[in-house]
Amino acid sequence: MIKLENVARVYQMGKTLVPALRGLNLEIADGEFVAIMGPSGSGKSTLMHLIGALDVPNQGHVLLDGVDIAQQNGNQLAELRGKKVGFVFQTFNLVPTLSALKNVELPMIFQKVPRRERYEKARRLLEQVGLGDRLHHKPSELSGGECQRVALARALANDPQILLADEPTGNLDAESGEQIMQILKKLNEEKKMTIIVVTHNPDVARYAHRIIRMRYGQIEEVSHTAQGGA
Amino acid sequence: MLLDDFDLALHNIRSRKLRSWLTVLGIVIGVTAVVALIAIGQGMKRAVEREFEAIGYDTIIVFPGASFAQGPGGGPGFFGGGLSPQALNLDALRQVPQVAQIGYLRIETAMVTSAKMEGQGFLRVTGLGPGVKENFGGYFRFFVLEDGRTFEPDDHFVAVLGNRLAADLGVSVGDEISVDNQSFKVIGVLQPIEQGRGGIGFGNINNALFVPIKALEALNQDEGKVSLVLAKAAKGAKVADVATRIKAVMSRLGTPVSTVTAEEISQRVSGVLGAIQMTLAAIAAISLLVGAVGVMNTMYTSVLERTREIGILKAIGAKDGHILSLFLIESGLIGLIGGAIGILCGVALSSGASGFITRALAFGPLGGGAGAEFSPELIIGTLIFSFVLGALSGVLPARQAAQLRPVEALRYE
Ligand SMILES: Nc1ncnc2c1ncn2[C@@H]1O[C@H](COP(=O)(O)OP(=O)(O)O)[C@@H](O)[C@H]1O
Ligand SMILES: [Mg+2]
Repeated sequence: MIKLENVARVYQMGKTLVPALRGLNLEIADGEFVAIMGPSGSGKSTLMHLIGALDVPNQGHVLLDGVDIAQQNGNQLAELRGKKVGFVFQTFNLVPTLSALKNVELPMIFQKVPRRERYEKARRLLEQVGLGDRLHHKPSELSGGECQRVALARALANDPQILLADEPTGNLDAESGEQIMQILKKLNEEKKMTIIVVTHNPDVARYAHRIIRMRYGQIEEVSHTAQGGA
Repeated sequence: MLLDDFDLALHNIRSRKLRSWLTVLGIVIGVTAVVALIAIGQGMKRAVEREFEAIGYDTIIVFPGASFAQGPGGGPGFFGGGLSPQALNLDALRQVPQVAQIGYLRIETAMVTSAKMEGQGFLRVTGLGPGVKENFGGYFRFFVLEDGRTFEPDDHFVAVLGNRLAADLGVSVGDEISVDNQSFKVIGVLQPIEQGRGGIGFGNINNALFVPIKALEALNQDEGKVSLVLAKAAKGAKVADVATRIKAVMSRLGTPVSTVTAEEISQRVSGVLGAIQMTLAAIAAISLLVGAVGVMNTMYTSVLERTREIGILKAIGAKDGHILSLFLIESGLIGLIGGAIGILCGVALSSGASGFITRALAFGPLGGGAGAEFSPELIIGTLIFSFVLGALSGVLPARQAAQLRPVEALRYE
């Protein structure tokens, strides 16, 4: 369960303060599929970073299963990110010098998963996203859709409870985007994974149970869909 | 985990080829200098030690004249061997307390010809005192017969020839040669010895011409003149004290001598080597420092370039320690690779240079062959050192990388 209480996050740009989130309250239950929409600069990514324990708020509380992330030290936050959360970014963010397989192994290396086990798991995950024949390709040798599927496999490496996808289809063609969303839907239905997707695309948002619209660092509107009908 | 870090670090080095190699080059130069330096120094030390182990640490070399560095006739002296004979009271020398044994040589230049040779040549002729070859076997260790026999007490006008000299004169055992118009019978020919080996006083033994000292005395019509005396200190005596006493006694007799002991030469050589090594070590240290700064620079650039990657790694669960060790190992590996290549270059360089330095320091007559020495300690030590140097150069950049805030790193373009 994810709970945000009166959360504010202000960035400092030189001497000016940029408020990215201003007193935001939100609860997301385990196993929910949530879409976050809203104009650029409205604070969507900032919100994702806080939920994923990549960043801490200036004010208010972010609670992951009751644990306040502001009370955790750097190593504890890294542990949280490594075990509980999987990130997928718009720009894939793969390590360019490493093969698809090695990229997927990375999160397991940080959790000290034994060599053999993590190799097998990385292979299985890549097969599951349809890339069983691309294990040793570098990101530069893969299409955008394939890169995003590698990124997705990597996000799943340590069996996270929460999957955070920040505009995952933003750089993809419609068909590749559809593939990604189908995988997310399956993960949500079969594994009961909590999934939060930031998107500008209403077709993508339709997969979610709940759509949250943001503006100026606050939640403007929450709407429920017909249970992720796509 | 450590193994995985090595794996990833190696990936990174390989994927940034040119810059990494240039950085490696910086280390290579420094390590090459250090390795060559130490190897040559160790090699020379060993060569000097070997020489005196062979001659014997108890042997004192005595030269007529107050200073051995300068030959009596202003000649090149000790190393060059311009040792003109002088009369010495050998009985007095023999009776100096704690002198166990003496032997002596007389070196003259004479006109040498043979039936087979056209024209004539002035050559160095070494007259051996009675028993000197037998009693100072180490000093004469290159005096090995290939053919014929060595001197016997009753021999008079006979000669033993170095291998090349025999060939040049076109003579072999049983033939006659002429020395200052006196006929000598060739009784022995020596084995050829690797270039540059000989012994103090008679230069390159391949060109040597040995006769009994009696024969030289007969030719010159005088007696008791010697060019060089070898004195063996008694067991348990302090060699330096015996040498001092010899100088005192001979000085009182009006024929001052100078002495050389193994210890003195060791010290002289170490002194010269030490000075050269200090200078080169300073240069090596500077080049290593420059190499280390190069590694630091590369690592800072690398941290900057990979800021986003660091953000990604943190987003997927890397702790600060992971990032730190990743960069430290990477810079350590750059150092290690530089060190390994540097060792190879150092081996090549010092092998080439040691011959040159040997000649420059006039070790030739000392038995030559002061080859560079590569001990396992030197090689392993250098590898460890270069890894640590690389890692240390990477500490600051790696700390900077580890402390990056993940969100900011991810936003970095
Ligand atoms: N690291 C940062 N430093 C300074 N300003 C930032 C930083 N991250 C985000 N911002 C600012 O905060 C606001 C919200 O950004 P963001 O959460 O990325 O919005 P969105 O993802 O909805 O486009 C924007 O005005 C952005 O410029
Ligand atoms: Mg954004």
